[in-house]
Amino acid sequence: MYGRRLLLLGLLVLVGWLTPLFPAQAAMPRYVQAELVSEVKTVQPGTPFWVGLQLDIAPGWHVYWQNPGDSGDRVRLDWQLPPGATAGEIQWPYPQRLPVGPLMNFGYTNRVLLLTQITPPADLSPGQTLNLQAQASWLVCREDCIPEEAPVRLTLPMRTTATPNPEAQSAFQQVRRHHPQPAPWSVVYAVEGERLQLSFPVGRVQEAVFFPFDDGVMTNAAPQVLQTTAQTTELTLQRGYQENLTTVAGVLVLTTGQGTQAYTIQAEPGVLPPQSRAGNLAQILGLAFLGGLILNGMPCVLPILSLKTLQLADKTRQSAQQVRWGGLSYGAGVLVSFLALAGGLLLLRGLGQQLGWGFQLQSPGMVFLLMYVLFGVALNLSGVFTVGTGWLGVGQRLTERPGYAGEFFTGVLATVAATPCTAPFMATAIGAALTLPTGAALGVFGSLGLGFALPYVVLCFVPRWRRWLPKPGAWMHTLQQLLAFPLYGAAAWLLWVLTLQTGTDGLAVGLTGLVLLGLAAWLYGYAQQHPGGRKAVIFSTLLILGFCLTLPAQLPDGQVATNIENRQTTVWEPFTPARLQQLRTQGRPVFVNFTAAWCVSCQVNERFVFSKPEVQQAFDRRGIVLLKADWTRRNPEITQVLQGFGRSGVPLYVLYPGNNQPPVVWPSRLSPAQVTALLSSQLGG
Amino acid sequence: MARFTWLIPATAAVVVTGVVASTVMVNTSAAAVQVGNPAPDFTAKTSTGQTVRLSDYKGKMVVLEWTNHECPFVVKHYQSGNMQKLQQEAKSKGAVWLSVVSSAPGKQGFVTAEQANAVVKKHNASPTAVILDPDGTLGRLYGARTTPHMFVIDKAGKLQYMGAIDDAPGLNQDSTKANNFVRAAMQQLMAGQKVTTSTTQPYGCSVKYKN
Repeated sequence: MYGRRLLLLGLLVLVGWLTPLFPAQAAMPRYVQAELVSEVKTVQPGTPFWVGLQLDIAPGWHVYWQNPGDSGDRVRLDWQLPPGATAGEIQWPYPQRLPVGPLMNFGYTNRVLLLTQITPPADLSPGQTLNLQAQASWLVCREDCIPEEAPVRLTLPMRTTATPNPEAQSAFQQVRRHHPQPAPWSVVYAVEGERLQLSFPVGRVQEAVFFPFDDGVMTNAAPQVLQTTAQTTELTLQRGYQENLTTVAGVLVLTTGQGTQAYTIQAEPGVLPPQSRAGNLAQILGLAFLGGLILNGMPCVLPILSLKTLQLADKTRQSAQQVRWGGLSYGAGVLVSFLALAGGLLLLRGLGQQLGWGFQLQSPGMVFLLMYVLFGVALNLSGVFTVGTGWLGVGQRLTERPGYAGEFFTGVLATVAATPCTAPFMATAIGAALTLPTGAALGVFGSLGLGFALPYVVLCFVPRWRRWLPKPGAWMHTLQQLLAFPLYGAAAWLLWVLTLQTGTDGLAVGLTGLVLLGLAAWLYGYAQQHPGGRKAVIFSTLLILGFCLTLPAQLPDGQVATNIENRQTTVWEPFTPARLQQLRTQGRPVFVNFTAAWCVSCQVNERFVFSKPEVQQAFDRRGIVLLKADWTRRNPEITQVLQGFGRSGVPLYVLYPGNNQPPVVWPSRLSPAQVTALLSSQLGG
Repeated sequence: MARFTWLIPATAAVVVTGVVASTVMVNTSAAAVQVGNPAPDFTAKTSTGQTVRLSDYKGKMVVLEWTNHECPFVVKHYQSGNMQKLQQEAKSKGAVWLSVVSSAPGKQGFVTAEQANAVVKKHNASPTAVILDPDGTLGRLYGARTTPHMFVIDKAGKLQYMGAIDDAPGLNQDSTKANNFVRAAMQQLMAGQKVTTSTTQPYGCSVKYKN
């Protein structure tokens, strides 16, 4: 007796031990129970009827739709039917989006009923029975996946008439409400850069989700952005790897005031209704121009430009014509750098990069070089050395021929310094520019540059306005030295960004570079005042500078988790599209803060708005989950979301009010009072 | 006006700097992975402690295989000997075969260097190298979604195939009788032809990325 039990136990242990060795063999169902259910109790010969494969899925696990999404495999049914009987295709109810890490699956949780139509043979006579048998197989996943399979069978009596099965009725009716119907309207799709937009004549859509039949049509995990009016709706998706789309087919699930309904659609390529575009070109150019104008007042540019403007007062002794040409040189510098920046951006766009404004600051090497430039200019202002014409023309003798090259490079410098800033209107314009054809996009950047250069150039051309500037004097020398400090500050800030990007090793490299740059500057200045041995000094200066330039290559490669949020009292969760989707599915309100360490406007909002106790309380009280999308380093997922909102840069603030309400984009410049007002108008309370 | 002739070289300098900077960035960062485009370059650590760089293999065909030895779909291809056979064929054609493990620590399929070598030995597999990618950097760079997920890169460094290993996604389907897309792509590339089926939907377990 005992022996037998022991043997049985031994066998069980052996089976348990062997099972993991053969995971490729479908296991006996553990996570899914399968059962075949019929809609009829009796079958009429030759008359089709419906059966359903009912899958009961363990909590937390899921099985897959016909297109499983990024991974997985659909549920399969292999029928073994009596001669003369046929089975149709599985009728798939619309699935759910199921995020798995950075990937997205389409499938079902809890319970699903997959209907199949059976046509019984006409030659079976009443009184006989119909034996239905199938092998059902599926992949069931939580994060890990387990293939399972089970034989399912059903025996039904043949009668002269079919009688419904009352037990199955409600389940069949319910699942049919989830079956997609052919859309009674046509859907048009358009491709703009990386975006794929679906447009259809249904108004006031509260929620829309698209599930493509084919892989590679869209990036499955990317958020789907809904824009709806009273008559039409647009759903913006992220394109997939398929290069030449001829048609976009799939299931579109719409929630309106009348409830949720799924449609099968076959979208044809077309032109989107005009109002749906980001605005016509003239409007975008106007916005860009306005954005450029405002950029003059942004914190990253102001120190350089105020010096530049004060210098104009000095120039009163120059001829009017010289001042004008100087202004134009500066303007040319700005324009050329904006166009070069646009060229780079468009070139990278052509190569399929995920980019936006300020992209160059996502590369630690670039941050490093920009830090050198600002530190160098600051040393120059402090009087450590002078350059022929002076970076800013300061220190140049007034009788000297005007330094147009200096003016030009001031324009370049101002543009470089402006890149971390996004002014109001500018984000919209650049976002639109990135989806426009190359010529128009260059036009937008040109217009931005014109707006940026205009105030200074106008001052150069209208002497009357210059009278408002203070009279030159010895105080300018003092002011020049004083204004070096904002630039030291800017360099210090870039060093902080560099540390966030590359860690303390990067900090060490950066500090080494700064010290050596300081040495080189001092050597050069020394040589200027002590003419003897000039050549040797200049040679060693160049040597040190050359070494400084090799330093960016020494920056550590590893990605260091940025931890800006650690230093703040507001509790921000890191953003991932999957987390957002999860929270939205739960119906919770979510606020997403798209930010970057190198974005000054973002940092201003972080310090002076989001970290204020009243703002935190306002978020807390409404149970809003705060997500921070940190774009300090390149992050294609975040770039995708930004593009979904038609943006190419940060900051961007988006409130998802929960309960399937469409997202609301907030203004980029915020005040604590504004935040509380926005929250109470959009969420109540 | 002669005074402004310097504007021309200055403009050229700014433009050239911009373009050079852009190219530098392209080489060091993610480009969209698309058949016909250059396959994004990468440097990665192997299970034998070496560092490999994709561009070092220029002039050779390269096959990337995303793998997870605990994934049933991968097990299917190794138990039937299908994957090993394909690896040998690839190597006989002079191709480089890189198996990539992007499972994060603590997740299914994560391996240390020793474990990775043991898996290779147990399967009697013959990849040129096993790349350890616990951060998922390489996986995300290529948009690898499943195990297996296959990529074939031609001698010029261009991506020529990405997707499933074959057209038998079911676990019960016989992979030795299936139409193997990777084999077809390699044969067509060796014959100097265009790859007819260049993109397919990959199937299998999801890549177990770091959260």
